[in-house]
Amino acid sequence: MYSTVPDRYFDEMVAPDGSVRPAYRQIADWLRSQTRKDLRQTAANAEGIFRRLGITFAVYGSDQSNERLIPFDIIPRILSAAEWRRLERGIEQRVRALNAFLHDIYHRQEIIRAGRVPEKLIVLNSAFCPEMLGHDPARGVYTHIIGIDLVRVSENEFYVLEDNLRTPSGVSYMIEDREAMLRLVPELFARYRVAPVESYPEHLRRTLQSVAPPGCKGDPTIVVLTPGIYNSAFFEHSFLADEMGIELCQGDDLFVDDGFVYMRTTQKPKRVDVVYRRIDDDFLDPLTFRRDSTLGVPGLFSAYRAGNVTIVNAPGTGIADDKAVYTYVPQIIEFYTGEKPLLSNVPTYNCANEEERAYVLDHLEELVVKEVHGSGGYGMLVGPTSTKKERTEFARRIKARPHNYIVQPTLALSTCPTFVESGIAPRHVDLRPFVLVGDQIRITPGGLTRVALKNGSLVVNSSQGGGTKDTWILED
Amino acid sequence: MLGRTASSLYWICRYVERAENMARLFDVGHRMSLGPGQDGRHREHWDSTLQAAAMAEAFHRRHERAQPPQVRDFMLFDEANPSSVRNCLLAARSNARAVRTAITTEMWESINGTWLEFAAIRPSRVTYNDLPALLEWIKRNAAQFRGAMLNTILRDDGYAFCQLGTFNERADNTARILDVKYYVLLPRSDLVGSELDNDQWSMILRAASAHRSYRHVYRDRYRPWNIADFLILREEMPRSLAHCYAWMTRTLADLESFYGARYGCHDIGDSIYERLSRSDMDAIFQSGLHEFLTEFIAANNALGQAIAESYNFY
Amino acid sequence: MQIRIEHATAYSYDEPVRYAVQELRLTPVDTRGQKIVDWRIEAPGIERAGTWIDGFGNRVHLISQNGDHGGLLIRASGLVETANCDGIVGHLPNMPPAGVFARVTALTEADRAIEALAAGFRGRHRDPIALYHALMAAIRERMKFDTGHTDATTTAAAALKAGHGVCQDFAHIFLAICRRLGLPARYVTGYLVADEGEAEVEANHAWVEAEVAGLGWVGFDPANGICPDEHYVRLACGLDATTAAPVRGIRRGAGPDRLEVRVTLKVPTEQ
Repeated sequence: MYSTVPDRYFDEMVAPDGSVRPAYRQIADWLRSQTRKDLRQTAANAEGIFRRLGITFAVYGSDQSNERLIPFDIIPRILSAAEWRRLERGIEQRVRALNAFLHDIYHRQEIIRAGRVPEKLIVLNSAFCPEMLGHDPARGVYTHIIGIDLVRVSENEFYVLEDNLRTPSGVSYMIEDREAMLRLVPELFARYRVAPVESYPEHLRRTLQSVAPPGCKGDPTIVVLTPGIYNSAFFEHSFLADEMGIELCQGDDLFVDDGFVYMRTTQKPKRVDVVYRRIDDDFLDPLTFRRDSTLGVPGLFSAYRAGNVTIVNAPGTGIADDKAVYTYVPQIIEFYTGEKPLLSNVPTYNCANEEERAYVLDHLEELVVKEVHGSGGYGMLVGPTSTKKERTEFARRIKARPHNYIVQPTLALSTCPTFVESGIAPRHVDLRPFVLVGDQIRITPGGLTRVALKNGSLVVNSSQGGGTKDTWILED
Repeated sequence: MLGRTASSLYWICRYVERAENMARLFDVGHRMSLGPGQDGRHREHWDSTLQAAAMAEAFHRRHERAQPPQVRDFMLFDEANPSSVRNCLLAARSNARAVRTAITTEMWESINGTWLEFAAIRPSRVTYNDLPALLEWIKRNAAQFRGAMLNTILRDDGYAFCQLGTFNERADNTARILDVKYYVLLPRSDLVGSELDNDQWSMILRAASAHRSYRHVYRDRYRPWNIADFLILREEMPRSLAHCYAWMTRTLADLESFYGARYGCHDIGDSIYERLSRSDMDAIFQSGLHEFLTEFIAANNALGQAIAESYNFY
Repeated sequence: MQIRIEHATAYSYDEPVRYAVQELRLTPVDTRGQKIVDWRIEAPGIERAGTWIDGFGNRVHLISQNGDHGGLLIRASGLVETANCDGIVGHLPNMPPAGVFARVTALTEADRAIEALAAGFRGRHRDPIALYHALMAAIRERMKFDTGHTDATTTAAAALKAGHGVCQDFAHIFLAICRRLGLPARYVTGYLVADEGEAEVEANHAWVEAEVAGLGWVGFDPANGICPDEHYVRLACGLDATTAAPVRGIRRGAGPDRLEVRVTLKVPTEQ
């Protein structure tokens, strides 16, 4: 039987009083009708589907040939139309503000002049990209493709954990998870009205088209730029290029001539107008950034500055999702929109402040410590599940470099019913909806739900044993 | 189409073809070693097998003598041998992954499935008795991939690059098999009909998967003249040089009309095909079978390079 | 004073190079102290070059050579009218907020020695002109001007440790100290003519500009211990020598190359 811990964690299926929450009623019925053997069979079918499609994920630090599947849970995660509308408004407000912030930071820096954000935090930040100063990207958009990580802690409380504004990944899982679910449990879709996610690639293509350089005449040529098959997200790069019907390029496929970008084809070189790059800033262009990079295209950034190509997302967007800048996002939203933020940040302690640092060091076993420049769950301490030795080590690191860490309370992430070894059990989840910014803002109803499969674990990262779930947004 | 995509399509098919050829060559070597004979003769078989596979030199850099277990590991599983079946399948699969969007789901599932299954094999657990089934499996999967390709791929430039890769590799392989044993095909009176020659002839035909079809075409016992004719000049034999070049010139002509441009590779392809069409076995034996094959292998290589240059492979 | 400038950059390769791309920051702008009378850049493909103004007010051209080639010649030349403004540059167009120039780069990172040197200047912000002059003097005390000890990739810290260097190194040390003190300062590259007559100089000159309240940006030449006067022509600026480089390129092909830079400065005698 499904048993939750109502006093500690909000469960999205079963309310604290033991009743099933309305959005989950059909799911609860369906789960009751399934034997464990049925579910196991469905899960096995799911694995077969993913393996055949070649959806794999390379784990950093392991052998190249060691591609593995991200575990997939067959029980969908469900949000009601009303819940989604709230999130949508908050997300839209946030991405507008962050794009305005990026434009400002690379131009007049009004927000610094106004004293809302410290100058040093920006100009001395390694994520700040001086090469972008004074550049006006097409339509003024810097971050076009965004994956905002949200967590839920109660019926009405959602927090933004991270704004991923550089090259967020995971959207292929959103689409393929749905594809798999449609094949696995068609009868469930008949009981619900689930908003489709399959239009994402089409929306992405339109978004990319809309930010072609102003000088581009006719239908812009768009490419996806990948670091290659050994990148952990290569499947996604290939998937998106295929879905959009555009070329998937590696650095060698592109070159710059007369200030324009071209691709090498079996015939004449073909001009490229928009590059959806999945290569990090540092490796994008050895002429401007790391000279030893062999993944990038020499002169690509120059062609961008000359206004002859659009790079998506713009280089230097990392300054707006830097973990130290994150704590200022509420002020950033107010400054540029004149509105109160609709989505809250997780309360964050500033270790550079002596008083807050003292509190942090005294309460490490309750807190989560994140390295300012770390990602993917590496360089992170989760207090409640940490050992004494780990805490001592992090205390030492915080004291040595307080600016390098942000500290947050351990959030009581909501749980969702998940099919595991022992049957159906609550597991912690987060949510990454995907946002597209071009001629308009497009938010796909859904997103990537990541689930911590280990009992009690709060770390949902796929590199740390997390899985995914299909996310259903119900229509009214 | 990106030049790199064209290159990958060409190499996917070349590597699958090579994997199959390696399996077949090994199979023949293996079969010969099961027959009666002294150690010295068996070693000679393995040596010529390695030569036909164009890996004799690489093998002898690592091993002194051609012993069955070493040859098996080298030809099938060795990670350091670029033409081992393992590396051919891996290279085909890596290329397929890189151009996943340019191939059909069926092609991808075939090559991906083949690699995943092959990668799961522990070479140390493969016994002598497992070998026939394993070799069969490799040949079957290569055939399945080719079937998937032929049944599902659009007949556009991508298809052309696939076919060029296949036939470029196949022509090379057939020419090598013949060249390694060219001397047993020379018309000599002294040994004709001896058991030894029968053995060698059957090996050549088996290596080219031609021992059954030979009978259908010639309705005669093995004769060196016929065997050479069959594998060089008979267009209806799908592994013959003439067949490979009939396909390649046709495919190059398709590319020429598709892109509206003719390059160096077209001239090279046409001249090789013309030479094959003009030849008869008399002339070839007269000017020297070995010389003919050496020249052919070089010309076939030059064609591969010209294709890469003309269509911006890199 | 009128100065005629010819600035040639020549690359030659031992083996043909398949592809090369260069960014040129070779276009001086008018300032209080200089007026560009005429100016042109000659380089392969310059008429088709991509061009823009970067974040530090520099006009940039992007040229490329696609296909085997054995070398590259870039020639910038023109006539500039200069006047002595005691180093005052004021505010130039297309510049970012001053604070950006406090950003530390790899070439201007402080080590203990720079930190110690900077410590002596703490709390002297009130009279910045005096501070910057004292800073120049302090650097000139520790550094001997000569070539051969440092190259384009030498950091401020390494140059200070060596005790020898060229104008670029003097400028980098100046910047490293300023930035350590939180003072915005920028790297400037340009030309320095010795006196009337004609001279061929080995390369560009380099100095710095720092912000002085009320005056805007003011030039300081730590290698010579003075503020630039009518003998200086300002070409480009940036955070350090890399971002302000007049020519920066990358090529495909591994063979060795030779780079020759020739700068000829002429002061026409009035007729």
